[in-house]
Amino acid sequence: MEYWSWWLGGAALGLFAVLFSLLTGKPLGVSGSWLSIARRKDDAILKKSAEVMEGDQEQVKDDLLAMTMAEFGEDAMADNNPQRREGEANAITSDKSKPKQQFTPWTVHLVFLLSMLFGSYLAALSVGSFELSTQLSPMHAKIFEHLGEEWLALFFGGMMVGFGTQMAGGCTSGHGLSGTAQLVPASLLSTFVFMASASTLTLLMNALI
Amino acid sequence: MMKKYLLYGFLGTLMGFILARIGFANYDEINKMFAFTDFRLLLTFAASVVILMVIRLIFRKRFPKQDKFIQPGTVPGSMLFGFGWAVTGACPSLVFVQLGQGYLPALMTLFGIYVGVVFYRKMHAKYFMWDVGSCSSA
Repeated sequence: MEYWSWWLGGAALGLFAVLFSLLTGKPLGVSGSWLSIARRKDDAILKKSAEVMEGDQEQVKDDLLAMTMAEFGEDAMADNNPQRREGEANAITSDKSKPKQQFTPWTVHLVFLLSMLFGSYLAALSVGSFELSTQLSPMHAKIFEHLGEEWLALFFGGMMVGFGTQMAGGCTSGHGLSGTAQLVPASLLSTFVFMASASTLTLLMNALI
Repeated sequence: MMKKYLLYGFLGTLMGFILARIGFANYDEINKMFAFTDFRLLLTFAASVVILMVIRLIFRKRFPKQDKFIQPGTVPGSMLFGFGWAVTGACPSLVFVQLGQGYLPALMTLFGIYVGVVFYRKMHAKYFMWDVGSCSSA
C-alpha cells in the first residue's frame, strides 16, 4: 500500500480528532474503551451512578449528607462548620468545571474498536492490498526469528501496552494527540516517556540483529 | 442509543481507515520512526497535534478539556507502553488496524493487551489505588 504523505496524513488525523471531539463532546482517547470492556460487569453500577449524577442535584446533595451521617454519625457532622459542610456538598453536586458523567455501555466501546478493524480493512481493499499474513513484517521476523518467539513477544508486548496505558492513564490518542494538543503537563510527560522508551528499545533491538 | 452505536461505528471506521492509509499498521514503518531512519510518521503525528492545537485555540469553547494529571503511574506506565509499542508496533488502537490489514500475529497482541488491562485492574484495586484519570473516548 502506498501511504499518504506526512502533511496529508497529519491533516487527516488532526481533523479527525477535531471531528471526534465535536460529535462526541469528548477528547479522542482509546485506552478508556479497553477499560470499559474489561470492566463490563460493572456497567449496571456505572449506569446507575451516571443517572444519579444527572438527576436532581438538591436530592443528590441531601442523599450525600444523609449517607455521611449514617456512616459517621451525627456527632461527626456536628464537629464540622455547617457552612463549610454545605459548601463541600455543593462542590460535589454543582462543579461546573467538570462535565456531567455520561454513561456509555461497553458494547458501544466494543463497536468503536471493532469498527477500526473494519476501516483498516476498507483501506486495504480500496487499494487492493489486503492479504492474510502470518508474519507481522520482514523486520519483525528478523528481530524475532522463530514463529513461536515472535508470537510470545507479541503477547508479552501486548501485555505491556495494556498494562502500561492503563497505568499511565492514556495512550497515543489520549495523551499523545488530545493531551499534547492542549499542552496538558501529564500528557507532555507521558508522550515524551513512551516515545523515548520505544526509541531506546527499537535502537537496541535493531543493533542486536 | 442506536444513534450512539452508529456514531461510534462511523468514527471507528474513519479512524481505522485514516491510520491504515498513513501506515501506522506497518511494523517496519513504526520501526523506522523509532529508529529515526524515516521521519514521515513523526511528522504526521506532529502535524496532527499542531492542527488540533490550532483549531482548538480558535474554537476553544466548543472543545472538551482533556482531564489528565500527573500521578504515580504516569512515568512507569508510559515507559511500559513505549516498550510494548516497540515490540508489537501497536498501541490500543493500532492493533485493530493491524488486524484489518490481515496481520494475523496481531491476534496475540490483542490478547496480550486485554490480559494487560485486566491484570492492571486487579493490581490497581489491590495495590496502587491512585486515580489514573484514564481517557475514555466513548
